[in-house]
Amino acid sequence: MEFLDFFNYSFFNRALLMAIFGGISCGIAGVWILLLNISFIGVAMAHSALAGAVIGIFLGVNPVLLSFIFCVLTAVLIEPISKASKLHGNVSMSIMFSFMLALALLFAGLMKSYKVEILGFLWGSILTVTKQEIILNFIMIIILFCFIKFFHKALTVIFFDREIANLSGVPEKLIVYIVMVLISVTISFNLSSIGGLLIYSLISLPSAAAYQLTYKIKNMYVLSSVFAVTGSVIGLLISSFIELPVAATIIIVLCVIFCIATVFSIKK
Amino acid sequence: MNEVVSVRNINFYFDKKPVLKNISFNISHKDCVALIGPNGAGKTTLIKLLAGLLKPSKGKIELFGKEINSEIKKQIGYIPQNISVDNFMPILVQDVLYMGFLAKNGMFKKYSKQDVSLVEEVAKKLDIFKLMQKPIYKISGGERQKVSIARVLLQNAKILLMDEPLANIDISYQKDILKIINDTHLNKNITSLIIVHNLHQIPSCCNKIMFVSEGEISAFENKETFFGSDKFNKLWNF
Repeated sequence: MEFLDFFNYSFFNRALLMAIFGGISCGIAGVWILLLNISFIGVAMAHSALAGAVIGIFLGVNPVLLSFIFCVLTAVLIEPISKASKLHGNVSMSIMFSFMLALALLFAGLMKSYKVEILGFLWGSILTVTKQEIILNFIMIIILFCFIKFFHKALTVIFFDREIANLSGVPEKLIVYIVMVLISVTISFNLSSIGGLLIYSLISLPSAAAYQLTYKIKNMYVLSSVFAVTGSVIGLLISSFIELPVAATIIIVLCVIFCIATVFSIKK
Repeated sequence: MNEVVSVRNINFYFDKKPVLKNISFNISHKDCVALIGPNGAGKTTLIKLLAGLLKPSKGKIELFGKEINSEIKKQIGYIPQNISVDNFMPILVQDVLYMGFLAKNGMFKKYSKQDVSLVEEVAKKLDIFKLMQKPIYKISGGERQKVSIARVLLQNAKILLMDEPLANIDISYQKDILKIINDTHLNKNITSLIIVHNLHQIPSCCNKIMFVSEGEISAFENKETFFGSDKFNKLWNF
């Protein structure tokens, strides 16, 4: 098959659109996770989404909805667990991460059918995305853009110092919770295309690369999204042309982008 | 009303251990209070309680005759000991200065031309104008404190709470910061409370000294009468 022939297939064009839209939303979510310094929460949330999706399939409930609920639950539960157990937040996050991954594998093991669907959520199946998923991701991008537009000042002061945000009349706790919910939705909407095991990489790598190249938050949003889209599209094209696993190829391309950004980092 | 700060019988516990025990005092308008005492005495906890960043386990704190709420908080200019920025946080000095307008303008209002010229004016006055486009992590500790003070000036705060503003700052810079604190306190008609670690770091505008040790106020007196008194010698030697 010639390279350009792929564009004649509607499933491939849908995958391309998903790579672009998913890249933009994951790029933005990654900036928030990095600047709020909640990388561990992000990892735990990503794996909770996977558990939610698998349990959703097991129970016959919408897996995207359940993955979103699990994501939010994880984000909300980490602090009470830390307080109750007198452990550092990172420890409670690793407990949640382990528990959620175990739940996902347990329910996957309990199922006799639906294995293909579960494998899709584990490893990703961007080539099978539906129109509905693409539309949902597009709507998500509009919501994320609006949120950044209206809350940029509040987000900047929260990233800088939450105590100063509090004293400036910014409802910092509420805004951080909204950010968590938006990250959860982003993870849930992209789970089926990139897979539960690699979704966090799609979120963290582009923002980490963008971080190397700018001193401005607005530039970080742009660069992170551009890197995520570039990695996703190039990964999709390479994997389709030489028949490699799509999600893994996307993440490897993103790793290369991160390495290049680190070499040219302005923060050395 | 002359009382800006009114603290009544406050206690604060951390992990069931008392950090502050039954503290009461008043601070009047235009007072500048230097808060001194050994490490771990509860000074930072006290200043955070006054800023409304912590809530007392028992007792009552009033600022401007009202319990601390989100509106009262907007009148508090809080300067933490160190600007807690991540090593490479992509935030510029000018971003921090504009944060001063959040209390007045809210989250959604665009900056006016007047706001922009005010930022320039304050930045020039504090000699940080040339740093405006620099990332906050790239400037020195002393310059960061100047940025914090500039932010509070732009906020137009009525009460200034500073947690060791001279900590980890080069001695050559300390004089500069002390002058700015003095000018800010005197020219803006505000009430100030400053934690200091060494006596030579007390700004000359301070008229009162509060000595905190083991979670209690051991002394709260006029600066002139306190220094040189037997009480001071006993406490400070301790």
